[in-house]
Amino acid sequence: MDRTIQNAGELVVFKKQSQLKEIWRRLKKDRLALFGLTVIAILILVAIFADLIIPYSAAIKMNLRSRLAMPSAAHWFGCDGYGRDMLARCVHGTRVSLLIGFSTSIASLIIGGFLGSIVGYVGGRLDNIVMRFMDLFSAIPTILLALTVVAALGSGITNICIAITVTRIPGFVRVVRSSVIGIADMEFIEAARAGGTATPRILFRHVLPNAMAPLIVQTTMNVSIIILLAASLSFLGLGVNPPQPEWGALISEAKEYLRTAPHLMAFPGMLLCLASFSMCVLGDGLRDALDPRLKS
Amino acid sequence: MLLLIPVVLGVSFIIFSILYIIPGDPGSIILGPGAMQADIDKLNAELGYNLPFFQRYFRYIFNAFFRFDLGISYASRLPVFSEVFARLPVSLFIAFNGIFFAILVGVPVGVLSAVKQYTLLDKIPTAISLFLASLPAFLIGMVLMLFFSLRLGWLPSNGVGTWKHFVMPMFALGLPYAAQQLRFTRSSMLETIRQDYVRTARAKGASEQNVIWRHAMKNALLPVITVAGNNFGILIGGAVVTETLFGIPGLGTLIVNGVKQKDIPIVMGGIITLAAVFSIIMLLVDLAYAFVDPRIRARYASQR
Repeated sequence: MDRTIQNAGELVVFKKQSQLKEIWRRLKKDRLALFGLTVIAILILVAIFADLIIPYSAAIKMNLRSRLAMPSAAHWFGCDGYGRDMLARCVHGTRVSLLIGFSTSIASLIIGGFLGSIVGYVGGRLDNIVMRFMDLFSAIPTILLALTVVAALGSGITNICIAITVTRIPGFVRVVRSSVIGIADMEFIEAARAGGTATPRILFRHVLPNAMAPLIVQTTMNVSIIILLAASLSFLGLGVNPPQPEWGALISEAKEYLRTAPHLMAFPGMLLCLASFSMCVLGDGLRDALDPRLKS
Repeated sequence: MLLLIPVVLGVSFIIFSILYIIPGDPGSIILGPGAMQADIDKLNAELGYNLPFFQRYFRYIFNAFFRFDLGISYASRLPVFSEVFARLPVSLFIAFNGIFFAILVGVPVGVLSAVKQYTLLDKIPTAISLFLASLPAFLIGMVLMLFFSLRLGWLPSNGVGTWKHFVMPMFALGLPYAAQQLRFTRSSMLETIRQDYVRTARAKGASEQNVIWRHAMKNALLPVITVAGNNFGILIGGAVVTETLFGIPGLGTLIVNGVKQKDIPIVMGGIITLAAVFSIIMLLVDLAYAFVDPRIRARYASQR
């Protein structure tokens, strides 16, 4: 909130209320963002308490008698081609998909943020070299880059997380770098430097906290992109290893039974859209709430 | 134009390095498990596998660009170059269809919703586009497949042949990007119609049609071209998923099968080719930009 402090009127507002409260007040006004937040909160709770809702064994236990069962009291979401309970598979799929989405987004935030802030603050030759390298990574279409890494490492949760992280880093580096460059020129940084503060301390205590807003938005938006990307990889048969449930893998399995049991596609499909849509609108809302100046 | 070469070299270097870490030598994979060790070593030496990393990379690049040789597929034993370029046209056709659809739908609707801001004509398309942008292409494709080929039987769900085979891939691939194109056109247009020269045109007494389509639209379309170019890269990637869903024998299915079978030459050749195509498209977009915008053209002219 560095720039607004120059404005005397805004200063009063900041002294009365903490920044977090102020952001929350603005976010509350955005109904769509609140909807997104609620849905995500519920999905996160489902993911955390997945084992309490329905044990993992129910998600992988085959039962040929209930093969392709329609939704009923015993199996709310029906059963898949191996007679596995779809509710259990969706619940545990939520856990896997959200785990991939959040952990990968945070991993790319940490790596990209670290690289971007150093590059932006130091500038010069290092900046030039690293940014050209990032440009090269961006010249490869995302899913192809992810496929290359999966080809090298093999499928499985950890490997697709690594693959997706590689594709997400350039975006984070760019966002952090540009906001760090903007902040590094400001007077309070000059003051810190004049006061003899060590460079790492300036970077992590003074520059980065002020560059947080675009980072939070980028991280939120990325969760949505990552969930879709992971689902696409699973759909291609290169994501999580069976019989582990994941939204994309569940949809891929449902493809074979599209004619006879379309409900198998419907439930994981709806969850996937709901999660991705919610993260998107939440990101939009956060952007407006964190930085009202950007609001159009 | 000069920038294209380092980009393609750099991109192929990145992909080459990532795929370099895969264990297994081509000799034993091509000759199979029953082969003599001496034969395997001989073939490896022939293929240059025993060379150090950088020599292998330069050998690969040299062969690719001057001999049109991307190696031999492990699975089919055919040259990768001919396999890749036999399948490239289908993939490009699908991607072009998608981008064509996205522009054809996204731009006019985007302009319309900007002009009629805050009315239902604005709110409904914006809401739909927000929803569509969070749908993956394969899900849209499956829903289309369910209705148009399994329920109604209008369109074939698998393979290539008639124009009917390409209708659903076009929608599945194009819809999310039409949504994105719409949102971008809308915001670009909203910005433009608040400019002074648009007000001047109105004050002059130009008809509303004229103001929107001649004065505002021309300027608002500039950033739209960039988005279309960028989307093309994503669409090439999206074609991988769409081709798999609709069983289209394009480059995407070739790469995915290559990844599954650990057929490294196919994966490397296919991905490098697609990345090169993407770079060429981005270059064309830059050129189109200079062609469309007189300001950029003037800057280039003054430099010379």
